Amino acid sequence: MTDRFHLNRISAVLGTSLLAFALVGCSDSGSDFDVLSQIGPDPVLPEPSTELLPDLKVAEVVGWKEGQAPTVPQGLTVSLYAKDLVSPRMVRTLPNGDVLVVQSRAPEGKPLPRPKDVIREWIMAMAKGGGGGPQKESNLITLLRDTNRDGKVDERHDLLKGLNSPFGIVWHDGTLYVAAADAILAYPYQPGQTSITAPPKEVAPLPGGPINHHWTKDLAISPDGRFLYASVGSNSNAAERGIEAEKGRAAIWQVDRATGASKLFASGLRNPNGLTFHPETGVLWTVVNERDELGPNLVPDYMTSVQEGAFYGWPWSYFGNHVDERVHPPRPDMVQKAIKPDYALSSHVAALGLTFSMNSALPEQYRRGAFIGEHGSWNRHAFNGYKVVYVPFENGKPSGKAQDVVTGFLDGDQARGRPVGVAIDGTGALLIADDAGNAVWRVAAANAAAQPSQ
Amino acid sequence: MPPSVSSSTSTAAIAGHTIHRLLASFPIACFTLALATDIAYWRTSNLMWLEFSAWLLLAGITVGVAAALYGAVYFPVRFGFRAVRFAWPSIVGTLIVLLLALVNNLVHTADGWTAVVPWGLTLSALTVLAMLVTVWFGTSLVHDHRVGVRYYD
Repeated sequence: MTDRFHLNRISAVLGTSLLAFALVGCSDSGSDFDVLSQIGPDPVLPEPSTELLPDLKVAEVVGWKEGQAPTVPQGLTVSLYAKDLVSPRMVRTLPNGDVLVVQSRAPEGKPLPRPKDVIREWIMAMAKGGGGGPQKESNLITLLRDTNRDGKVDERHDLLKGLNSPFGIVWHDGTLYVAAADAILAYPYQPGQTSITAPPKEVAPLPGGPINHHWTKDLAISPDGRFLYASVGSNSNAAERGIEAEKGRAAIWQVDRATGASKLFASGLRNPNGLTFHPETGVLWTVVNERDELGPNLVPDYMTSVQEGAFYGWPWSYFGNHVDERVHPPRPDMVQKAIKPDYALSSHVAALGLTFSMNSALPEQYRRGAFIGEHGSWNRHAFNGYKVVYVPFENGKPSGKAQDVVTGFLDGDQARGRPVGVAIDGTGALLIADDAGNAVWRVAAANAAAQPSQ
Repeated sequence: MPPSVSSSTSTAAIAGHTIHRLLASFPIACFTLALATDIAYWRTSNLMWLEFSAWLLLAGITVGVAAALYGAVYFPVRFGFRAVRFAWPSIVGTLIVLLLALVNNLVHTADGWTAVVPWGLTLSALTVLAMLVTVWFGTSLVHDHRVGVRYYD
C-alpha cells in the first residue's frame, strides 16, 4: 500500500515538474552573451525568452560616503559639484554659466491593475533607498552658481519649489520652460535672477496622469527658437494597460513656443529622454528606453536621430520590424512602418541623459561626440548601465563604439549613485545628475581643472 | 449502512468540516472563473480579462493553500492517520491543482497576449480538469469511506 502510494505520488510530482520544466525550458541560457555586440547600429538580437519568474535585480542604494567619487579614465578628473540635493535628475547650463538642477520624484497614485504591479512597486521602492523617516522635499529646481569659474559652486538658490514632478528644462529669450509631469510651463526669467516669484503660464498640456507610468518629460528647443520639443514616455512596458492608455504617448511632441499649438513629431518611442539638437547638423536626437521582460539581452536601449513624422515601432515591434508577440491584436501595417533606430546602447541600460560634447573643454578624444547617462538595469541578472558613456560622432552620425567614461556608481551589488541627466557646464566640463546619490558630479580635463571654453 | 465503529456526534467535527469546505470552495470558484476570463481575453484581446485572471489565480492559490493546510491538520486529527490512506488521491490532486495554479499565475505575469495564449489558457484548463478529478475523488471519500459523515446513534 505504502509502496503504491509512494509511486503514485512520485509520478504526479514528476508530471507537474516536467510541465513546469517545459515552460521554463525556453528561458535564458546565454550568460555568455557578449553585451558589446549590442552596441552600435546593428545590434545582435537574440530570440525573445520568457522567464517564469522575470529577472528582477535592482542594486540597493547605499549612497556615497565622504571622499568617495565615481571613477574616470586617465586625462579626466572628477569632483563633487553639489551634494545634499533631493533626487536630481537633470542639469542645464544657462547662457551666463549658472547651472539649474531639476530634482523630482515620481508622481504618486499610479493605479496598479495586477498583482505583479503591486509586488514590483514594492521591490522598486526598496531599491530607491531612503529608508524610513519623512522624505526630504523634492520636485524643485535649484540654481548653482560658480562665480569665479573654478569648477566649484559658490552660490546656491532654490529657484522653484512644489512643482509637479518636473524633468525637462529649457531657457530661451527671457523665459524658463519647465516640463512638469502633465504640462509645459513658462516662467518669466532673466539669467542672473536668483528667485522666481511670477506665476507660470501653461504653454501646452502634456499627457499626464493618473497612470503616467513613464512620467519624465524632457524638453528641447529648436535651433531657431520657434519650437519646443517634449518627450512623453509610454504608460506601460508593452501596451499591457491597453492601447487606449497610450494616446499621445511614447512620442515626441512639437510645440509652437508662441501659440502652444502642438503636434506629434515622432512616435513609437517607448520612453524617450535626453532630447538634444546636434550642434552641427541641427538634427534632434534622443535616447530611448526599450521594453523589458523579453530576456536579459532584449531589447537594446538606443540613441537615435528623430525624423519628423517617423514611427519607431513601439509597442508592436522593436528595432525595426522585430514583432513583439505580446501585443495583440497584431498590427503588421504598423510593424511595416517602423523605422530602425540609429545606434543601440545594449539592453536594459536605461539611457536617460544625452548631451553633445562640442564646445566642451574636455580632452581632444571627447570633443566630437555624445555623452549618455545610463541609469542602470533591473531586468537582468548581470547589471548593465550604471555609468556615463561617450559615443564618438563624425559628420553628425555615431562613428564608433561607446566607451565608458564615468563608472564606479556600483559597488558590488549595491549602488552608490545612478546617473541620469548630463550637460556641459560654463567652463566646458561635463556635469552629471546622480539621482540615487543626491549629487551632481563634474568631470573635467585633468590638466586644466577649470579651463574656460570661450 | 450502519457504521462499523462508533462515530462521534461532536458538532465541532461538523464545524471543522464546514470550514474546510468553505475554504476549498474559493479555489474551485476562482480557478473556474480564471478559465472563463482567460477564454474571454483570448476571444476579445481585452486586457481587463487578463487582469481578472491574475487576481483570480492569486486569490484561489491563497485561500487554496489555507484550505490545504487546514485539511492537513484537521483530517488526521479528526479521523486518525488511517484516513490518509483513503485520502491520498485528494492530497495528490490538491497539490497538483495548487502547483498548476502557481505556475499559471507566473505565466500570467507576462505583459499581454503571451500571458494567456497559449500557455496561460492551457494551464487554466488543466487546473480545472485536475480540480474536477480531485473533487470527484474527494466526494468518493465521503460516499465510500464516510469521511465527514455524521451518524446519529
